Amino acid sequence: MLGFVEKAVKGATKAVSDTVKGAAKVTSKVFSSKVFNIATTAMCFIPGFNVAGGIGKAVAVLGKAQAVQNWIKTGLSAFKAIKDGQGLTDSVKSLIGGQFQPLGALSKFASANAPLFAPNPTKLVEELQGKAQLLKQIQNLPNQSELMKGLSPIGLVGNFEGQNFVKSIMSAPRRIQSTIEMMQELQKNLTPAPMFGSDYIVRA
Amino acid sequence: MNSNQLSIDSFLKNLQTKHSLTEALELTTADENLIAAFAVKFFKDGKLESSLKLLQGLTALCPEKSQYWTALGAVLTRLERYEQAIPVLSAALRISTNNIAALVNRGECYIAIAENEKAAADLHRAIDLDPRKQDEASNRARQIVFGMSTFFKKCIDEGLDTLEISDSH
Repeated sequence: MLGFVEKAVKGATKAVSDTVKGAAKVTSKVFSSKVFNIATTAMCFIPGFNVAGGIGKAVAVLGKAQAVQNWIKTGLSAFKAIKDGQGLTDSVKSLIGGQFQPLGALSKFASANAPLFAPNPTKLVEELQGKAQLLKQIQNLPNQSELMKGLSPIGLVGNFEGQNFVKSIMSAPRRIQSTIEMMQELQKNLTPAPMFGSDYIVRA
Repeated sequence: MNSNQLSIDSFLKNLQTKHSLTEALELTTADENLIAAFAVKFFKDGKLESSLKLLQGLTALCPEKSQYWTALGAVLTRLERYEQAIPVLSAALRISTNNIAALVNRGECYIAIAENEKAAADLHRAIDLDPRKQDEASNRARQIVFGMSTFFKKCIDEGLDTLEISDSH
């Protein structure tokens, strides 16, 4: 009789355990959604932080739920160590990070040079048009075709240092191409508006 | 800026005597600054692709200037082109090793490609470079570290690290 009760209790316990286990099992979609919701709550105080582009992309990059779970574990140890080491608390939320300009020093430079927008860019655009044409001619020189294999941005910096300047220009046609595109972009964005009495306005 | 049109001969001659593509094209510092100011303006107006083109041009003209690489990396980051932003920001950091904004932007890129250790290392360095908490970029690094730590802790508190996941969607 006792054996029967023991068996019954064991069976009931196993059934309850299976039920709990079953309830804890979620689809990978639900799992990703839970991760994303927690990220949104945890990171919402950071101005301009792209949770979808950052955490969302990370989850997508990792793909499998198990990889995401490993990422959670390693992430906690990596970031918690800095948080504890630096004594970071809730007070970080009131730091002046909200004014952070992602462009770095260039943002401050542009603010400091705000009057730069006052001069009419007509002359610049005209000059750049001519220079873009000139660079295109350089680009089309016979010996340029084999040199058109673009260099990576890192390669450009590396090659620029300590090399003959002419060589660096001629061996880096991507630099010339980028400069042409920059000039064309300025021309595209700055369009004549004679009816308003000014030569150029920035397109909306 | 030289008001006369630059001829191909003059340009080629300039290449022999001048020290940068900017000089060879007879662009002045004021021209360069104006282009940079437009790049910032386009960025702030949300015209990220236009800003990107200008900054690519500026890095081509002045590859030795860290601030253009930093700004270019920032635009790529905002465009969610993280894999492209990382080498660009690394170029900025190679020129200027203590560039906090580049470190923070690269840290954000590493988060997006799920490289926790590298992200943490960049953000840690950005924090260490400004112990007096006066730099906005380093303060953002503090906020991101705190946010990421909170996020991972909450995930673990809710058992997401051990949750059983079924393959079905």
